[in-house]
Amino acid sequence: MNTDILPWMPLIALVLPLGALIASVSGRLRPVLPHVFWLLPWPAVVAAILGVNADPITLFWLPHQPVFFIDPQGALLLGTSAFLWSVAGFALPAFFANKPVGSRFCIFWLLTMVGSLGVFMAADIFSFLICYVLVSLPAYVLIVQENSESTKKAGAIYLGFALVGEGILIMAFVMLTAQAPEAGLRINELVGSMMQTPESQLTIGLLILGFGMKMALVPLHFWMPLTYTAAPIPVAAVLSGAGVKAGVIGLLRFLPWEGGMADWGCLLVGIGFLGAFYGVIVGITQSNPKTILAYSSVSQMGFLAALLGMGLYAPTAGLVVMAAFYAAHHVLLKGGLFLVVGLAQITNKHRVSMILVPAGLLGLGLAGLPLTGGFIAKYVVKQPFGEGWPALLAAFSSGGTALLMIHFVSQLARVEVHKKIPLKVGRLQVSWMLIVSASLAVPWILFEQVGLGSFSELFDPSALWKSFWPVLVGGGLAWGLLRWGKSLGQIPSGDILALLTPLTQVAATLGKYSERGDWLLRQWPVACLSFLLLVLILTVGAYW
Amino acid sequence: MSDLNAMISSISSDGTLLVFSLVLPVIGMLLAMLTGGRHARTVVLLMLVANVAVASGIITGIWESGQAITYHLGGWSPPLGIELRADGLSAAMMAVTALVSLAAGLYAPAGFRFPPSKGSPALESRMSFVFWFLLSATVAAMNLVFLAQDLFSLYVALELVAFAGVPMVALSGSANTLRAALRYLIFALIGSIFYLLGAVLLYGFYGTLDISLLAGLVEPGPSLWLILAFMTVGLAAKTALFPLHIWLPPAHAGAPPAASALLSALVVKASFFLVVRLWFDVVPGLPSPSASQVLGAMGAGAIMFGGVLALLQARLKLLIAYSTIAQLGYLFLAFPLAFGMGAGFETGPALTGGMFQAMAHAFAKASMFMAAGLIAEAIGHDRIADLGGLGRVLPVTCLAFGIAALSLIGVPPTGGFVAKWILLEVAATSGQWWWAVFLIVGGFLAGGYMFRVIVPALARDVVPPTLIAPVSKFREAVVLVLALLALALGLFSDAPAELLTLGRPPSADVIQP
Repeated sequence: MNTDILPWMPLIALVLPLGALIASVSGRLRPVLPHVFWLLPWPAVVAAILGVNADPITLFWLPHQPVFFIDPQGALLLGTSAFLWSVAGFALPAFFANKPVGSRFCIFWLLTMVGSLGVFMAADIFSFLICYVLVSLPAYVLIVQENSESTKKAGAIYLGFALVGEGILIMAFVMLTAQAPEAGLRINELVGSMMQTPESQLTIGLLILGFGMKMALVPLHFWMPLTYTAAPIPVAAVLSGAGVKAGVIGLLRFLPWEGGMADWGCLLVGIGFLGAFYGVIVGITQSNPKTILAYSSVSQMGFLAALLGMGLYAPTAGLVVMAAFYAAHHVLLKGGLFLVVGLAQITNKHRVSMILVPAGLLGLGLAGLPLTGGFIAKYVVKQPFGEGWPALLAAFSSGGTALLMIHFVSQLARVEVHKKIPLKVGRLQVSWMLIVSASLAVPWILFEQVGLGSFSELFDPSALWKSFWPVLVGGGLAWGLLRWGKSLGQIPSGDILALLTPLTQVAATLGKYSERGDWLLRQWPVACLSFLLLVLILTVGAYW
Repeated sequence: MSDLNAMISSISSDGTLLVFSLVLPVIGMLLAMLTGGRHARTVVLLMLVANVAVASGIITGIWESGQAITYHLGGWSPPLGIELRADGLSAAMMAVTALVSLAAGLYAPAGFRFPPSKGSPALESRMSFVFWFLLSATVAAMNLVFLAQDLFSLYVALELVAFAGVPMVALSGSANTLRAALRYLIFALIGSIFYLLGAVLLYGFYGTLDISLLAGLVEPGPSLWLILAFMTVGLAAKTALFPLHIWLPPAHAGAPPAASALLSALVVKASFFLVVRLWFDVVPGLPSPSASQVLGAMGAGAIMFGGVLALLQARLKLLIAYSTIAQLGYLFLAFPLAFGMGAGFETGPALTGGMFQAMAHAFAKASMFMAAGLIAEAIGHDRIADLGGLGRVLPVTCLAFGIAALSLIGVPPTGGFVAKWILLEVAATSGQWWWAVFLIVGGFLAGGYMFRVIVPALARDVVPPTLIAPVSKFREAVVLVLALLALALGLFSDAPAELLTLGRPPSADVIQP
């Protein structure tokens, strides 16, 4: 193949989704689009395979001259996310069996897809920000598909989190560009030019806060269970699989991995492990499978944050690719787990075991069950945790994952079967099989490609055992839970959100006083007085 | 062909265009008076189109020469004569004025039944006639504000703006709007008196009112600060800066939508522009930074207060009006950011950020008020609580409203985002973190109050409001184009940002008399 085309891969990756967006303007073409949703992300898969490490491409003819590129970590997330978008898009009509996919849903699906894929390839700060906004804000419409109070509340909280997170990130980005005016807008140059100043410490803090909100790190996680519970299944699948990885790629791109940020590393390890266990503990009190999966995401993202924290604390070669590898596996696996919930809703009780067994295997893969894809993912990230207590905590968090996943499967068996079976069951089954096979196979295919180890190490008995005992521990705990866990109360989905209700009181009071203030300022004596007072203050101010 | 090009370039650089930009609207106004109600619209629309051409000619002239365009009336130079001068700031604001007023003119024709009522035909014709008249007057007055270089001409321009603005508030003639107009008038009057007091004192001290001459003469001292304070507070009252904002919501919410758009997008910016001239051109960097911090504090108060009150409004037009108060607050953050805290006076980026906000807000807010007008006409009310499902019956209007809202919130890549980005960058480099906090939190508040409108409009399973009147596709298109302009300002932000810096005098080489 002509190598001149390789730098263009990022554009090729986006050309079909963008084209579909343009086509969606036409009322005649719009109803056709949902049928080709599965096709649109495929160029991105191809780009992720072929375009790795090609030269960045600058789009000179566009305003602000965006730069795109595909590096190994970006390629891992791009390829798996694009695959998930395709599979979820294929399954989508099954969930709209009784009514056509609305045109609004269609447009916002495409917008979110463009953002989700673009964010992994953006090399300059502006295109990153625009893609990041696209993968966050339009998703609101996808989430709020039901007209119920709980859905509206979940949507409002999601949107609030997205806006606040973006505000924080914009501030962080401004500080990044301000500290190195000559560094241009390329992310790696800006990050590379960061100095050891109090400002850069604050920048790092804001970056972790902003991206951490997207990744649902505890204690800013509670939007996630609410959102995934409320959203339609294919939407929850793409958001939990591909969407949250925008936060992961953000941390990978914007944190300085050369070291010198040990304090932030410790903090990230702390909140990461906190989230990893917190997600499990709250998750096992839930009964809705979608909510359980959301808490599992909280736990997994916590684990990933702990991994990144270890890397900040003690720089490790290849950490960024390791983390991306782990996250890429999570893209496929979490997508598959959400789709199986949809499958359980339409499967008869006496046949449900046919999906429970693979679902359980899939779930235990997340915990690192040997020979699954998750086994490799866990093996890859073993080194940064070292040998001491972080490694032990990591192993226990795998045990927790096993526990949570067994709980998930047990709840899946109790899912209410929908009375009206959608007409397009076949689509759902096919897409589920595709994503399950991918989540098992892709880590095996990529393992040696990314250069993080060789197969012979994997089959070392000690490696197998190291990955297996946490699953055994989790299984034991799960047995205990199933036996004695009935008395376990249910923590409301969104847990610490309840603690925030006093805030609404504060807001109401603030509003009341603001209205009173407005009334007061409208009185003529007050207005005249404020004229004169302002003159006085300004005069004194200018003099001082 | 080359002759023609030469002629165009000579016209655009020698200042004749500046005179055109003042004379055109006045001619339009007089012609509209002569031809009467029926043809007023055609005459004024033609004038507005010509005005857009003139403004772009002025921009071309400044862009090509990289310098300001000046014109001395009657060939007399200041202090004897009157100078017209268009620098990058003026040109940019003139272009915004030309575009927004043209949009208002195109939108207006059917826009005089707000709230829908069967008024007497006599009232209708008076309203439509007066509107065209006032529209031309506003354009003339705004152009004079942007071009005049002496404080007395600016005073006249400011009065003209108010004279055009007050009747616009009272166009519908109902008791409520008359009350609002009266309140506006009184605030504008106090503001004028404060400004005039300052101008007279300046003349008494320095014997001239020409801005560039004054800049070379003024000496820091208590008297100058008192003058500055009087003029600034007077202008702040006309700009509806917190806490002198209270006339704005009833006035802007009560006017017909095309008039609201003009008032919110343009008229309040006239007095802001004068504050800029005053602080950046007459006394550049002279007052102590704490004075600019006071202005910033008023701006920050506006952002918070306007935002919280917008969250509480039950009616769409009032919500938009309170949002104007909040958005005007951002403009005044440019002052503390430029004057710095001990870091020295640096106009460049802070002023660019402030003016960018003025431009982006003009497009977004005009679009939003006009969209609200269409909504009110189409469904007969503007109660926010009953807007559920609106997106299905008025998709284009809602799209325009949404894009405008994104700009006001500051979501990339809109113009509002670029304005905030520039201001945030100055806040970061000059170490004034506290203003950054207000810039960010203001965005959250804007997100909150816009959420209240957009989310119900997007709702799926609700019965949409019934249309009581058809909506003109053309007017929807006008509203959408304005919103897209706010978006384009962000996408293509480099050229306008550079234009704003052209022709600005370095404060050092001021001509000595």
